[in-house]
Amino acid sequence: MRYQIVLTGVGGQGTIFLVKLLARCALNKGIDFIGTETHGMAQKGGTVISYLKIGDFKAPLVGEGQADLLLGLYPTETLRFLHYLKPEGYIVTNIEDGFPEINGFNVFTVKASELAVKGEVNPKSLNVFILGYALKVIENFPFSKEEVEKAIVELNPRFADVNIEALNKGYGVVM
Amino acid sequence: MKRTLLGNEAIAWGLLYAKVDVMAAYPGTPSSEILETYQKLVRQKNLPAYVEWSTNEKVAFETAYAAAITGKRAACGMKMVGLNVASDALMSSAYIGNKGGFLIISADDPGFYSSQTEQDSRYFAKFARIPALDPSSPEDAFRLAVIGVNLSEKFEIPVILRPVLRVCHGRQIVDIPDFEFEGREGKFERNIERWAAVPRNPRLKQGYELLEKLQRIAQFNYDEFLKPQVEKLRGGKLLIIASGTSYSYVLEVLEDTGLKADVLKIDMPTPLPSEKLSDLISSYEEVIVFEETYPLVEEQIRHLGNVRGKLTGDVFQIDEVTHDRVADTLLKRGHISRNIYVGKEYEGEVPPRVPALCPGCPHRTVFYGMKKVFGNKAIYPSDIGCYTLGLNQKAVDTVLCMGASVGLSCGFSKSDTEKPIVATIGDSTFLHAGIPPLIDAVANRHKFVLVIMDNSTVAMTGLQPTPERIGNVSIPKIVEGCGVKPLILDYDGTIKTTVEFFKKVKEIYEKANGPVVAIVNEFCTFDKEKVKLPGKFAKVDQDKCTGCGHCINDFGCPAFEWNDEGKVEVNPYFCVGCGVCLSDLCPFDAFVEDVR
Repeated sequence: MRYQIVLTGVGGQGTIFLVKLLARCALNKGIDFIGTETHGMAQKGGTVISYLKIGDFKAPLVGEGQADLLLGLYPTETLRFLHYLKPEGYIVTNIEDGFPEINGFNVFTVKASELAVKGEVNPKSLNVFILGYALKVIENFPFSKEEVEKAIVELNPRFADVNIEALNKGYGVVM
Repeated sequence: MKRTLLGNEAIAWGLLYAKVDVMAAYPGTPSSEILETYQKLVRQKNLPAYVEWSTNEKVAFETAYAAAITGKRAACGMKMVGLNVASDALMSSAYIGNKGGFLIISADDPGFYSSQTEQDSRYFAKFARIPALDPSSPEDAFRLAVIGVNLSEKFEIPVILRPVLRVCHGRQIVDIPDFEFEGREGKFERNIERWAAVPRNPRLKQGYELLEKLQRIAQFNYDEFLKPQVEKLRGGKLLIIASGTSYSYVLEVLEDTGLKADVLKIDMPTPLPSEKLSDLISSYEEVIVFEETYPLVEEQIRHLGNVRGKLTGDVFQIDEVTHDRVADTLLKRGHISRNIYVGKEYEGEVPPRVPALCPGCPHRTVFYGMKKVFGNKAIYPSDIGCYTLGLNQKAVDTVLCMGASVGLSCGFSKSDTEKPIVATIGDSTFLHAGIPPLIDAVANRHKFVLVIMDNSTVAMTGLQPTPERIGNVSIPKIVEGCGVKPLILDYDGTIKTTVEFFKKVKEIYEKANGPVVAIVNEFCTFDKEKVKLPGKFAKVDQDKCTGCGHCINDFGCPAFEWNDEGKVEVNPYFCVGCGVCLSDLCPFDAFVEDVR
């Protein structure tokens, strides 16, 4: 199993939680994991990018043109980091009004911010919502929904219910 | 037990594994989580260890170093620019040495992600004539932290551990073996000749001892780190020598491209037993050195064979290592036929996203009020902290280093006497390095306004506690003690009060013949203990908005966005309900409450 994810968004959207979550899934499954994430100055409302490498890897960054999945919590930031994706790789992203047509990749979009403002998705769990959607649409994702749910409970039991609900809402999005 | 750890967490585990029982640090990205984790583990497990956030890196260094003098095992943590501040203590401690192990963790930031310089802390080790260790991953950082403490104790010399950003904020599954933690009793033993060695003869003697120690450590480097690898090398055309994270990238690039080459990992880039590597290096047709950020290893071995690196123009000289950059060198040197690390860029335009103060941050209102009163003509020196982002409001003209807002204001006041000078500094930065220049300003009558934006936390690095919060240290009393009675504003979330306050400051400044200090008591919106947000969300009355841009240019809340009609909208996803924009911001009163 070798799977590389680039996760993007803006500061405060909880990309680091997703990194921790998927790292935990890898640990539970006995698979190696290495990655790196944005903290600090770069975070303040600015672009946030994290790299997750599941399987036998050594270096923390994903090489350009190598990612299996670009997971986007904010539309502009998804477009900004397209170059990390390998040909025919997956894009799963939050969008607002429209999203340009992009060829050469498998693109899945969802209007998550809108659902968050309407109160249909907890804004603090928008990250997990998108992950839930990704779990649904991606073939051969390294972890199952059940494995992610287990990691959510282990990582933060206090907010597990809210997060699992968001995960399932994402998983249940009608395409 | 296997855990998923941030590199900084792995280092903290390494310190405990090595029985370090005193740690002090000053926060700074990317180093801050080391002490946070150490402190959390000490509390969780109720371990007999002492831990503190110090006032600055020099104090952290000295606090930990004293413990090592008494025979305890100690560590101090900082980012690389912090080592500049602690360097006075560092240089001297190298001669004197320590009894208990003493590890200095200096986190580098190749690529300037959150630092004003790139530097290379390994050079500080070479400069001070002490060993440096350069971990390649979080797992490796755990290993080298443990080795570093033991090495320091064995040779009675401070050791620098130099993790880079991608190690500190790398995340990996790390196996931490079970261990028992025990502290030591510190015991200061008088030895005036050693601990109080004075020039010339006692220090000269220590200098000779240091040189002799370095020889022995270089031998240790060869025996422990290099020899076991050298024995396994297969020989051939190409040898790649890699220090730190570069090693990880080299391994992946070789695997991805199928290129066969020998690789030698450098754990300790200084002191390097260069002459012992002479036969090895000259036996290859070509040797390429990859390292961050400066050519420390390369400089020490370049005379031994056909060595390629930064100095020969074959390897990147600035910014962080990536797969692409390693592959680029190998391609240019003819070892691979193409660089596979190429992706497809989005062809359309993506609007730039610059870092900005968070929605609801009081700093923004303070900068707005300050600028409104003192105008465009004033010089605005600022400092290191979130508030550096006041540059988006054109209320920050200079950023140099910690405390320099005050020091530069001293100089500006005597060099450009035409313009008003209004400096900004945060509470932690003021306590770190802002007090000596304020004393200078009082003593030498430098006329400027110093605004201390006091949210009583180190916000930028993740809300570490400040002396005010943990020890009732009073900034107004310190300022008064320096000789200035400060003006104080309790931030109330309105532009009106803030502007009135600065009008008063300006009146006093105009009559002053020395520094005027204004303290604004604020909060950080992430600080659960102090945050005050009234829950007044905003929207824009599209009929009233003229698209003049005043709110975006001069206030610049990240929730404000241009729409297709050339008017401003509030993005409800980002609005936190601070309510500041609802009055006295828009010249046409276009901001109205969005009742949710």
